[in-house]
Amino acid sequence: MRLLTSHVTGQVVVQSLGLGPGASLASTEAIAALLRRAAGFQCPCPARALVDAVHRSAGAWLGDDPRDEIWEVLDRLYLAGDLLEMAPREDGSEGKLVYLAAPAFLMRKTGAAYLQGVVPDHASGLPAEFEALMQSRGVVRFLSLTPETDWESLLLDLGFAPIAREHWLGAPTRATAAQHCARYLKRLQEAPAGGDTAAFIVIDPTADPTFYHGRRVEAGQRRGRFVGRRQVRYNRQVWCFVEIDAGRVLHLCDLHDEDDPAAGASEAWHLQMALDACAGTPQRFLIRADDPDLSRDEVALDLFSPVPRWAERRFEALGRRLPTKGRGALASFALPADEAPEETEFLTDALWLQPKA
Amino acid sequence: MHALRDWHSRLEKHYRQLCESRRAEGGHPLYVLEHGLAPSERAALSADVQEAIHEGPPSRVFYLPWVVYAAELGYLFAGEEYWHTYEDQTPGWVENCDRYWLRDAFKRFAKSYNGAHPYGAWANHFSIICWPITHAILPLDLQRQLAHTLFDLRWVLRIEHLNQPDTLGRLIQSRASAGTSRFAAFTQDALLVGQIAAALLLKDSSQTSHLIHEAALERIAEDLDRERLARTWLTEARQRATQVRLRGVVQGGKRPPMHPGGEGTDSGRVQYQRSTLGIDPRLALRPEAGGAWSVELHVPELQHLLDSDEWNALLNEARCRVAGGPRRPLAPGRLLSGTQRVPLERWPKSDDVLLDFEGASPAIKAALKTTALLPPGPTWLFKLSADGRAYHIRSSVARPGADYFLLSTTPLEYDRVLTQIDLRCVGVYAGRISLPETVPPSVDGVLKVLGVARASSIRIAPVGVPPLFWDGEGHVEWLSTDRPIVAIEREATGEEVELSLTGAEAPPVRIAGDAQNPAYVELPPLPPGTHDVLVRATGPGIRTVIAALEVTVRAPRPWAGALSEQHAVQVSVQPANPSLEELLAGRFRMDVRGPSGLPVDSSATLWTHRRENAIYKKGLPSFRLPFDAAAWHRTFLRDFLDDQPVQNALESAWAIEVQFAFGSLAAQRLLFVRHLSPLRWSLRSWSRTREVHLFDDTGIDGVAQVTLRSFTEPGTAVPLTRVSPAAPIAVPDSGGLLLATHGDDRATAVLAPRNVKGFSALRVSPCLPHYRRAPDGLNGLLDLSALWAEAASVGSQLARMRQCDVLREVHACLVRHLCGSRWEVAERSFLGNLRQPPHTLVHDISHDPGELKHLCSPLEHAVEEFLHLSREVRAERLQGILSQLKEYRDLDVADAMLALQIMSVPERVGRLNDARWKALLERPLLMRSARFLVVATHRLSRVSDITAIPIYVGWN
Repeated sequence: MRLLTSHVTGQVVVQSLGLGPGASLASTEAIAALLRRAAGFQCPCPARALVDAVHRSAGAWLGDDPRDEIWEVLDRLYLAGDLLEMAPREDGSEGKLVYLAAPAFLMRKTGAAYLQGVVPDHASGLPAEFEALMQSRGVVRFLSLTPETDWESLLLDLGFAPIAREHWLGAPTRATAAQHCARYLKRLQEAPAGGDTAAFIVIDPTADPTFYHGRRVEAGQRRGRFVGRRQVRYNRQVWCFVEIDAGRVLHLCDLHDEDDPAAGASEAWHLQMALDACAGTPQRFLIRADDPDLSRDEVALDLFSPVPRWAERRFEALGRRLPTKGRGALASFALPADEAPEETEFLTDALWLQPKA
Repeated sequence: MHALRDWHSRLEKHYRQLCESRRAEGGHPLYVLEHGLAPSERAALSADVQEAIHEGPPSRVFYLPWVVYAAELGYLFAGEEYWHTYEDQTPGWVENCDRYWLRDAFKRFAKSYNGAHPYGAWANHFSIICWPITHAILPLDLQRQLAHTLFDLRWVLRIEHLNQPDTLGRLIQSRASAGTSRFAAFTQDALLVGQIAAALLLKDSSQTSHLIHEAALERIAEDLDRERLARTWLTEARQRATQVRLRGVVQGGKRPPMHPGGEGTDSGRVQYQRSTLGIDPRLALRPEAGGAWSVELHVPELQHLLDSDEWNALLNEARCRVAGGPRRPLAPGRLLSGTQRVPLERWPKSDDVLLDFEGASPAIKAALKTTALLPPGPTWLFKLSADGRAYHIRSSVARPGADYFLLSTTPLEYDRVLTQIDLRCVGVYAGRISLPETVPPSVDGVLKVLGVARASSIRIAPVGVPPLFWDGEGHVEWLSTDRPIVAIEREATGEEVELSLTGAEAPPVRIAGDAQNPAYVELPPLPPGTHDVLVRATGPGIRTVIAALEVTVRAPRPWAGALSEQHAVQVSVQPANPSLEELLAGRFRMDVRGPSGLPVDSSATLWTHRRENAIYKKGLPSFRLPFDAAAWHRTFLRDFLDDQPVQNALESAWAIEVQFAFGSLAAQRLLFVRHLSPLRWSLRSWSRTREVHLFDDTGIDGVAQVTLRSFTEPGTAVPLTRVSPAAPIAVPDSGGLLLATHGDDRATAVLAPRNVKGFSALRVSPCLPHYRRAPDGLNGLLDLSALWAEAASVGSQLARMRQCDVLREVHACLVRHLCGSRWEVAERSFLGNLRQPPHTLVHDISHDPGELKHLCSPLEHAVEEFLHLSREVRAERLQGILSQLKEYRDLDVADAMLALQIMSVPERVGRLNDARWKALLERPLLMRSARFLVVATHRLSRVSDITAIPIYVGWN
């Protein structure tokens, strides 16, 4: 037994979590590891039980608002696919419960394997030799791997399930912009007509795609096919794909999911990306390295139009959100520089974006 | 011959020396593979042996090169055909020698050099090849599994495992179900397994020569090193073994820690048993709808007890009843898959043993009687936790600003401090106490009366990484791999205290009065068991304990890729590792729990040895949760197994892998590896040559008996003649059921008829010989149904269709005898008319209007929900319905269960004694009611698969 100072106690905990000696217990990486550990013991349980467990055992080392910090990291763990919050599997009086996500891995083109899920009683479910290769960045954990070993087979043998690269974090099956447009045009042609365009705001395809706010216009007397929003009962706004002709709605197809209103927006923005690409005016992105908020091995990604939630999740999981700071971007993310080529490919292949000159 | 004489003489000298040194070092048995030959010498020996057999029969005197040769082939054995390989590589062997000679040679080796004797059920079944394979020590295909098992077991290794190989062997045996059936067979010889495992673990410590000859061990280790994962597993298991050994040397092989009371006192003994067994059910209160509460007993996973043979059998095979819990006991194996939260409908009595395993030995019952009891009452304090549940606090200490519940077996007096709650548990009263931050003296007085102590001015709590469990006051649980840290917080500084750990050699830690508050203390690494941390005031002459922390430590549970109850999708499979044969016959159970409506995609892959080559892979139609395992299995048979590439390659396949994807939430791979039987059919050439082959590895003298039963006369066995034991067997075009028997072993297969033309020829009307309505006749029908149901069908749907026709006829005969001819006629009419609703059949259960009045409606109602009930609940339901009748009041649930089984899956019942049959024959109403439930449930399910076994839906 030995008496420890508060500082040394924090260091011992960081070591126990398998983080590097320089890591802070107040870092996102450490809080994520503490939450994963608590979840490995307590799940299924309400989210507050995990927050409470971490707060009770390590709150003294987590700064001024430890609870808020822990809640935020917990939300990011859902996003990264380590934990899942959902209705209880069995009928009961409890509200939503947190479950462990099944251990899985994603092979990246950089050679890294991203790990997802939680193994009860263990930091990762990997033998110590492989665990030593594990690094944490925010809530994401990955293995920096050597090319001479067949890591995919090893991880499969260890019980990790493979995640298809293109479906990571809920991305839909990839298609070309033309295929994507064709699918929606068919749906639109089969959709019924209905009413006038008085309550419609549409995205103007002819406006500058790098200035999103300037693209949102009233439908008015416009003609053509548009992605837009319309007002429905109880002042609710619903995303839609619509064909209009001087104030008349010829065909109307709602992009709406009662259970997940955000999904409608994602679907609409993805469709607008495809329409812009097919029209020869693709939406743009910018990758740059001149941001003071970036560390040495990071680059910034600027987006000038809203992107679907599943794409946003991906950038947040890989990196972190940056303040936009009046650069004209709608959203900016810091990404690891070595991941930039694969993310560029994702932006051009899955979102049909082109780099901004 | 000269060459073999030289080899023999060299080997004789080597084995003689080894035997003598082994005898002096503990007497562990010798293995042929410990021959000490270099790779080039092994090759030369093989060449000499192969050359010698050309010249004539081997010499009885110079037999050692022969056993080395056979053991070397055993080292390469991968659970497939040993003799095929042996005979292929040894031209002239068949002409000049036989297997029995080789077995005698191994026996002579065992006798002369204290060699190992094959042991276990596997050795009994494969009575010849068990010799070369046992003497190969650790064949290549088992090396990876052993390395994995040692890795999984590393955290539960103790010094006695390393010092006593048989103890280590039994520990490995206890985890054998995680491997293939061949690995399980290998672990049956605990001494051999322990010997090789200890040698591998201690390889670097130069203490292994008494276990395995250095060269043999080096060779196995080198082979293991060739595979990355196996090498990693073994390296980490070894590192742990080194730690255990060093600690063991220092501590002299310490047992789990004792309670301060010591073993000599009652409390010390109980505490010691609790610590050793680790059975410590935890009480919790769970919030229910409408502000009510219920009681739960959280029973921990008992995997750690598996290295005891007795516990192993009990946990895997026995049901466990929880005192105060539901009538339905926990199914066998449930306590091996995570913590079980069992609702308590009734508060257990103080002397109730909380866990009652069916068939437990007196020793286990005695152990449970002292360890699995309710904590002492008559009041129990629970603290509300952040997860919404309230957990029992052993210390009964309350702290200001927290919410508590008090349970009592005597009525409570409720007031503004203790408010009544609605607790859904019979036999206990409950109230809630919400303590403010500042507790007034009046409340203090009430707490005292209630037996609740106020927390002292010193608080001791775990800090750092979240512990496994913390009741918020006095009891914490950690993993044995943790670095536990506690915080000692004093309400006022200035008080000097001392912190000590009972049973530890570490000196106490003094915390000065002016030390930081809270003070942090790191405890030493704690082995699994129970420990106490005590805080004492250290004023002049004062040694009072002013705070205490009870610490429970357990080893981390190994993870083998399973989706547990903690994951969003839980998958459980019984048995844990079903074989390929069990997959084909549907003799395994798979439960999936997850969000309703979640899509389930699956694919199946046919693999050659150790997944080296995928022979055939195919995606299967999608399902949605809730998962219907029987429906999935029917799809698997129809859409995968009947495909021609599978039919062509199945016999030579090593395994079938099934991959499940549960939406984007989870995925699970299940590998069904072939289980090698000593007697087995090869039917590959049947459709081409009308001949089949029989492989016989039983090693029993004489020739296996082979018979054929046709589809038209399935009860009549016709012997098939064989020119020689190795010769192919000609089978008539009409096909049927092939049965080979040799000793206790038997092999069956159903062959589809050849050249069938027209739809009418697809089905068959079997004709059974007369079976008496008496125990012998009824047992004969059970045997016949088992025989036809167990056989794998070959030749796609047609064989299975006819197999089912035979089974239906056997069922019909049983129904006639047990339910009566009148019922049989009514049932045939019902089964023949798909439009006839079930309620029309229920009226044929009895002639007596009084009986019908009691039975019809409940039976019809039961049919609607039967499919979704477990077998136990179905039996309870049937028993409940029939016990309404005076003459059935004494009907046992077990009898109801038996009736349902005979009327649905007679093939799985097994022979009954005369008394059981007499009881059933005297209760036709029971049998008819059971049969009604079986056929009516099947009809309501709308499943129309006429090739499914079991025949009736819901009885798999």
